[in-house]
Amino acid sequence: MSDVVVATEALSVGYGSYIVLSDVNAHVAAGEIVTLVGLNGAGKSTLLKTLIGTNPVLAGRIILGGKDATKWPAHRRVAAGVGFSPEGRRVFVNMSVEANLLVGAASLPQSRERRGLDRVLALFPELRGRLEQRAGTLSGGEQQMLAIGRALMPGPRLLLVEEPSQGLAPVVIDRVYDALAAIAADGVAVLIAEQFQQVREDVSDRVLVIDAGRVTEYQPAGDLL
Amino acid sequence: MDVHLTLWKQVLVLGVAEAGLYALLPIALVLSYRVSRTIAFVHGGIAASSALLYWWFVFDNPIVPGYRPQLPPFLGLCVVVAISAAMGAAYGIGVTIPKIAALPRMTLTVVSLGAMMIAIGIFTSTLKVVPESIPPSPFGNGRVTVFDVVLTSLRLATLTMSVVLVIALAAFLSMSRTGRHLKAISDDLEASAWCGVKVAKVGAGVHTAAGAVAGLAGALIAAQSGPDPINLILFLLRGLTIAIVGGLMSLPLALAASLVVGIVETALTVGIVGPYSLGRNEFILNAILLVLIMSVARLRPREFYLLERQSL
Repeated sequence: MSDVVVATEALSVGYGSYIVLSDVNAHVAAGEIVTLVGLNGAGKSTLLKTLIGTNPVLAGRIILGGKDATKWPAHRRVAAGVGFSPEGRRVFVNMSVEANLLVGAASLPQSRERRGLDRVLALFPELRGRLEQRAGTLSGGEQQMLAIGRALMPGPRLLLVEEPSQGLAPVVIDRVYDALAAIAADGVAVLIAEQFQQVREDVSDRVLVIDAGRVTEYQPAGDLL
Repeated sequence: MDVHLTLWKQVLVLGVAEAGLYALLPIALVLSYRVSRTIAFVHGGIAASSALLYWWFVFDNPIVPGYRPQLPPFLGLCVVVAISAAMGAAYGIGVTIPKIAALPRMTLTVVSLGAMMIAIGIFTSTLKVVPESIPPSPFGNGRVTVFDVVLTSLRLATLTMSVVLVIALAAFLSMSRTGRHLKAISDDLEASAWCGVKVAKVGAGVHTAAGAVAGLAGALIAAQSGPDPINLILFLLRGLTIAIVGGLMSLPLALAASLVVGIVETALTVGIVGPYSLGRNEFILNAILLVLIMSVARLRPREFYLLERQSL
């Protein structure tokens, strides 16, 4: 298991006395695409935000690259190689596409920003002609590419992607998933949170099911026979 | 005709000089709003406190009882600005604590307003200020003639500092990496944190800078008009209106608005539209400000209708 990029050990997360995630044990390895599925409110978003560092942990540990990152703030986790593309894209709508991407490189020395930009534009050439355009005026698909590109700017080892297909046309969803497969092929561990009906088993190496705050491995019916 | 020309020349020169003082507090308000999306009344409190502190540190009239350090005025100004920066830093650190940062914007605004009133109350009652006593200027008693109009060195220095501050800060915010991060925080705080921006560090830094500028504004008001708490609060309200002209986001627009206020107020004070009347003058000035705010909101809707998500 030396190629495990992130692992959770008996992780519990909640808000006050309300427990959202309970005793979660999961891991994602380098180059692997793991899809986390569940109903609305099952805890997908909470798990991803806990991994990036903006939700406090009640119990358990988060191991990132072999180190205990449970108490690390978000900026330290980003610097350690975690990228996050959130639900609804959350691009900086009043800033240009280029500025959005450069903010994504906040954890990098300024001298390495350009390299990150070139890498992202190679993956998403659609953004090249729109660098000066305000992000809020992009189409949904372009905003999704920008959100993923922004998370890729520092060259993460783990990419967390929340509902990448939300509100997109099938052809654009294919384009986004092709890009995610290419990212994983480069050795990045990819954890995708999706709704049941959007799961892309063809792209996923494993599927995890989250239900009432507990995570279990999905077993296709054929495998059980 | 010559009389009118001379009068207008005086109005312009004195009005521009007056604008220097009006521009300082909006700089602090714009900076803090850009990082927190709340109106940081606390910086008004810091400005008022620094006016009272400046008076206490440098006023040397032996008739007024009570011990005071009687510092040289420029040293007093530096001390007051340092104290104000520390107050701004304390506020900045406080509001970036995750639990506090998660409070609704309106709650933070009310907290800030409360902090302002408490600061003014504490310093007014403990420093035993004499409102009508004006402390000496940190820039001496020199006089400078500009286009045949005599200006004090205090007014000229204030104007110079305001213009330099606006230009330097506007350039820093638009061209530096920190400025970009500040803009991102202003757009979406949570997403900025996900990108690795050190939100708490940037927030505390900006509030420290805003506190220092507010302190500078307060000390210079005291040196010009004395430490009268009522005047200070009116000055704060004027500063807030000026900052709103730029949607609380634009430093150059705030500077432009302070120029308009300075010139119009001077024109009304010298009687361009008739004998002095406080009520009428305030009505005219505020009507002009309202038109300015509405015009900017129409011409630059982005300044006013940014998509808002979270604040520090």
